[in-house]
Amino acid sequence: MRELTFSTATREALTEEMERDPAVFVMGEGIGERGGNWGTTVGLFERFGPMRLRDTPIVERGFTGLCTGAALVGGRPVVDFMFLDFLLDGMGEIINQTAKLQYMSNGRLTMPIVFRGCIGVGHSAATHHSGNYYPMLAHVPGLRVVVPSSPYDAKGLLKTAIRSNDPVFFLEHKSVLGVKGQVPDDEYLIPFGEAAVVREGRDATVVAIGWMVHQTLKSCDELAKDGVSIEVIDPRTISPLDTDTMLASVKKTGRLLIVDEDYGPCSVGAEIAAQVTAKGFDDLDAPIMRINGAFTPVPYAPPLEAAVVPNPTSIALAIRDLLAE
Amino acid sequence: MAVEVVMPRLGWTMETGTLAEWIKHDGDVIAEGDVLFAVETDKVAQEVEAVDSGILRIPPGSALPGTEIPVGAVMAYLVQPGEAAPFEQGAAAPAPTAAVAAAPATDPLPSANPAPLVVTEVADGVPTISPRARRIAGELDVDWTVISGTGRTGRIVERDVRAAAAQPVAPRPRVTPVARRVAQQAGVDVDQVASQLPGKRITRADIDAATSAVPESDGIVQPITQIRRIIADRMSQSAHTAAPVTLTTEVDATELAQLRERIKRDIAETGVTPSYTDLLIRLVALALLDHPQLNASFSGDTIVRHQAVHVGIAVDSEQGLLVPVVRDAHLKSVQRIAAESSQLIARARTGKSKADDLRGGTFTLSNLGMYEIDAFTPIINLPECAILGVGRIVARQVVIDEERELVAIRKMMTLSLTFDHRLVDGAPAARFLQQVKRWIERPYGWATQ
Repeated sequence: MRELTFSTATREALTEEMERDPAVFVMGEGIGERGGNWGTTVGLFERFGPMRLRDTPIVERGFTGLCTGAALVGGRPVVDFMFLDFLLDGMGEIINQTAKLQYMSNGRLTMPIVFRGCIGVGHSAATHHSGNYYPMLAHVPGLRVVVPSSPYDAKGLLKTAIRSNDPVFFLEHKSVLGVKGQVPDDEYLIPFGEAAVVREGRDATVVAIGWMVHQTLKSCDELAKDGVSIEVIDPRTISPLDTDTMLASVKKTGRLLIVDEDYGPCSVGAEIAAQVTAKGFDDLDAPIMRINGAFTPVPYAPPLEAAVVPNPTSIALAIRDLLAE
Repeated sequence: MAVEVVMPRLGWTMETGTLAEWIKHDGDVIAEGDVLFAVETDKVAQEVEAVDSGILRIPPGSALPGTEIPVGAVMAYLVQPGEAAPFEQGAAAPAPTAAVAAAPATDPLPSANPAPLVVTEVADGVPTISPRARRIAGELDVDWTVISGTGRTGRIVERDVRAAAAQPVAPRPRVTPVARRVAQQAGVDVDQVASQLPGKRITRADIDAATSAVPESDGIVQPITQIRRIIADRMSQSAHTAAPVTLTTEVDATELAQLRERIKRDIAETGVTPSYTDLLIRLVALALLDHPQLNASFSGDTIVRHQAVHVGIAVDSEQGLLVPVVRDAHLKSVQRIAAESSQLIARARTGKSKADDLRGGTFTLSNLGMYEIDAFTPIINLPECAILGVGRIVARQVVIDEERELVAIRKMMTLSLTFDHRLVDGAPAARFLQQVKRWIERPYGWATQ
């Protein structure tokens, strides 16, 4: 075991998969010699050369469609959007072609493509560089959506993503890139659709997504001083979504809060709440609660930016509120 | 500012009202004039309207339908959008949470647009028990309907059920569904049967055994309705506090009958034919003006002699005895009285009496003629002084001229006047009855007044 940052762990996963399979290549803006805006490909250009680390012009629809075509004919592209917000320019290609071609070909074609990009609010990235978008993506049949929160999960899930024959979105919150954690020396993969219980507890269940896992764990440490015992679940993949783990936890605690930095309306939390209510109604001792980011474009000013997303204090309040139900 | 919704006073003697049902529910938007709830009171089921508009907020743990509520007691509130109901302020949340809980209250929009610090309220309305608590109550055989909840808004949550289960209470008797049904039909208290057979599962045979042990168990046992209880209370109060004396007299009603026939013929096309009761209401009202001692009532330590005559009519309804009142009968024509009384009686029979229909009487008429009753001793409708019982009109052979030994067939009727001797002596009461008798026998004496 070693302690690695999230970024290092994903870079390690990408390197290993590129070594393992010559069909794997990366395409995006500034991912060649520059090594990627977020350091996702640092050192890989020297190692694998310009054929497998292809810098592109600023034309998302173009390289998204190009990589979709490459995946159809045996390539295993990793499209690096830098900020995930830029995905929006390639959205028509992704939803209408990438996500549907396997279905339309009756399974004769495969679509082994990974889209990765940074998500999330923070660091004064402002309106055009702070989106999360995973509810939108998880809404589309044919796409898989991964939102890891730890270096361990990031490495195991990225390797699974690259080996998957389905289109996968691998989304990295800006604030988790520097998070450190234990990563095994040996190779491992983490299957999709398996949530992680990151903290065990008995009084309430909190499902947290991405960076919110860390914020929630901080509030749980505070609450533990008052004897409040919270179980925290990280779904790790939004699509497929592992509600069985959530249901098992709710069966134990009777209470559920969903902590999500993204907007509340039509969110992942709404989906989780609906499924848990449908399947676990008789286990619920309180209404399912959600805490979300404010329903607003993300402001630039640091105090305003901080105010629109949940933080350990507001999460702790929400948990206390849930326990008072 | 929240407006209180209270149990209204719907009758002078009303001290409590029984909530029949909420027509509107917690969270409903109310416009002025909307019917909020139904009340069973003094012989009447009445719907209560909102006198203000707003959002109806019923506190958790408020009275359930069937509960008696004192007049003036606050039952709910009407609040403005975004305004917290008084019972929500300082709710049982821990102190730091209060600010969070208060935040949505200032936002009139539903939480489609939640601020980051605001917990989206998924719950709607005021549930009484969480699904989990209900399930666990079933598993632990806890009767959750009798425990109180500690969740927000008083909701029963798991810990409440577990606490109740931990209480050293007598185990709930195990009763088969059939036994429970049979017991209900027979009016047998299952718990009492079970207490005599500790530990045993109560079956139909046990209920049958208990039933046969109860004397007169072949009768149908019925719960006492609100109206029956009021009637019982009023009647026993009257019987125990008044000093009733009944005078009876036989009256020749032949001319009254002829008068009625004539009216019937004359106005057949245009109006309501007055009943004998209608004629007697007018007649008695005028007679009472001459005998104010009978048109009186006790009011604490004083006797009130009423200026106006409001005549109550005893009406047999499905719910029991009701007494709608014809107001100011001394000022109204027979025609008008007939029109009013037919509506009052129709409303009483269908249980739709308004509260005003049933209050303010100063004298009561009780006509049992249609049941072929001649004389009886009616019970005074307190606080009134007297009640006139009217018997059937029946053709009889009567001596009309003793000297000439003339006998005729006349329509005869018996009047029974019961009066409260505390308010009036026998002679004045007798003089009143005598005047009524004479006016029945010679209707022109009053019909021209």
